Amino acid sequence: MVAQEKTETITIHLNKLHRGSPGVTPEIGGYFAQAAAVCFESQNHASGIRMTVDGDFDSIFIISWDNTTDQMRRSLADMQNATEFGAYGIAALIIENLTSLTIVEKSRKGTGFDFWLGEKDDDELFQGKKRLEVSGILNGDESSIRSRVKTKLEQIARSDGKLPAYVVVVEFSQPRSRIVEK
Amino acid sequence: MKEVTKIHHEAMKLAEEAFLAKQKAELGLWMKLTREAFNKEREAAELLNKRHEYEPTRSVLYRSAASLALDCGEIVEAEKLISAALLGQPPEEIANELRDLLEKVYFERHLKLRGIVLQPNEFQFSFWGELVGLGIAPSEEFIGRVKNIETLLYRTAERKRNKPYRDAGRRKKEIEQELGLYITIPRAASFAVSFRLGTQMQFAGIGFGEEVIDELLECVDLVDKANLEDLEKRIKDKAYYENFVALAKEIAPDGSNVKSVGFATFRRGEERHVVLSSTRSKIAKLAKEKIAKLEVAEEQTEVSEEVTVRGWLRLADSRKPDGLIDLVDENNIEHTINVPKGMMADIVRPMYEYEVIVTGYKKGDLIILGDIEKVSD
Repeated sequence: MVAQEKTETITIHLNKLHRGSPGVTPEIGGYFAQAAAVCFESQNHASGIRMTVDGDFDSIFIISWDNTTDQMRRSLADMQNATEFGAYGIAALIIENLTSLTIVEKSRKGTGFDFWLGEKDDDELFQGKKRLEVSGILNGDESSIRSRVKTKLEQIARSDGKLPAYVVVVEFSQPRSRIVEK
Repeated sequence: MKEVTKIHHEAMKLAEEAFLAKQKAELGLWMKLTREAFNKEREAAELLNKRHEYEPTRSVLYRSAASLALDCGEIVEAEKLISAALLGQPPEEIANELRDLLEKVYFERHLKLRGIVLQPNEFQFSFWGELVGLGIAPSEEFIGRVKNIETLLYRTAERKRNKPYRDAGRRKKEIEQELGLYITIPRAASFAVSFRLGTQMQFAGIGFGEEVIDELLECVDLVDKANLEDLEKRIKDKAYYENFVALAKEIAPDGSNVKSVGFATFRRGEERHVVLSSTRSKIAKLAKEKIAKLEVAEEQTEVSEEVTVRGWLRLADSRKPDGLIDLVDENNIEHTINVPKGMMADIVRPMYEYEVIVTGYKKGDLIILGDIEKVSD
């Protein structure tokens, strides 16, 4: 069993994404961190925001970041993209803190990436890995979160496939995330 | 396997660099890096061509290479890579994603302009599916969609000109003259026509026709991505919003007769494709959920369970602020349906005297319309 239930408050800084992980270079990690910060600030949040995490886990995250610059906001002006990339950054940090897994591999899927989770020292490519399915909502309510989780689960459960996955939905306005393990 | 891993990692590093270049709008660099990533990823996948026991790695690498091939416009290569992946033993999830990608490949082929030169005020509309052959399509599938695209274009133009939503009466002559909609003869692609907006040359800046086309395609893209939140932010007027979602649903594929519909434009020297592959039933479901949510927000009460009634549409009354329709079912029982503003003129009225299925939510004696569809013969 990889998942460990934690209920304590966890403090994280988005700068951690700048360090990258086996499957995410520091450049992309940094971009995800900027996107997440732009999303939080667009919802009038300041660094040190509290995010509840529920679903298969139950935790509180205190999330800090360095203030965004005009240049960052300009390069992430398309909020649809910013929400998607920011959600990936938050999901990566949450999973890393709540489980022993981290993003170890990726492949191209559609116009983006398909991220795979595994133990840090596992050097197999995709065998034995868990998929990470992420969805971001800039400003939505409980029903939007429920609906996104449902859509993601329907997407991955439309066959009798057995590939394990974590679905993470991140909402930025009243910051909260829901994690469901398939 | 170490060699495969090494090459795959090199490919992904290039793909990441390409991704970042695209974010900075360095499109030349993006294409160069994407092509390099594609070549590497194809090499990695082909090293496992005969190693069917390496799953899901083998099929994931092939899918990844095929996605990169599509980005490079290498449609035939993408098709070959997907076929090679499916020849192995991919897990069901990856096999389904490969089939989705293959549908995209086929549709990209149909969307290709194939020598057709589009002006900024033109776009090509194509669709394909089980009942659509090369250059031949069932008339109702074609005519209905063309009519709805025409309506959406005029509605978008009226919205962009800040005109209040018009639920009755003809559209203004000035809009018709300014937009001046033309359509070409259909061509085989698998079935495509071009629309042209406006006859006059535009000399400076973006012409109104181009602006309307781009707005239409942005909104269609949001519907396809099930992102109704952003669509609502973009179309702030509730009547225009309801109208757009309902018409987009009518244009969308049913999933079998028509599997995909797509639009192609030519911007800054490149083809731009927007594909609407979400089915009518998926869009209807999303729209109904949204209506239920709005009702809860407006009335501060829970709405009732979803109800479905089937019957003949006998009355379409748009004189009241929110139109009412009466439906007479097979037991001769009358049901009164409340139609949100934005759906009466373009969606409901054309179904007058037809047998329809209505789904919605009960509110007192009324049913709040969520979706309406004609019963097929």
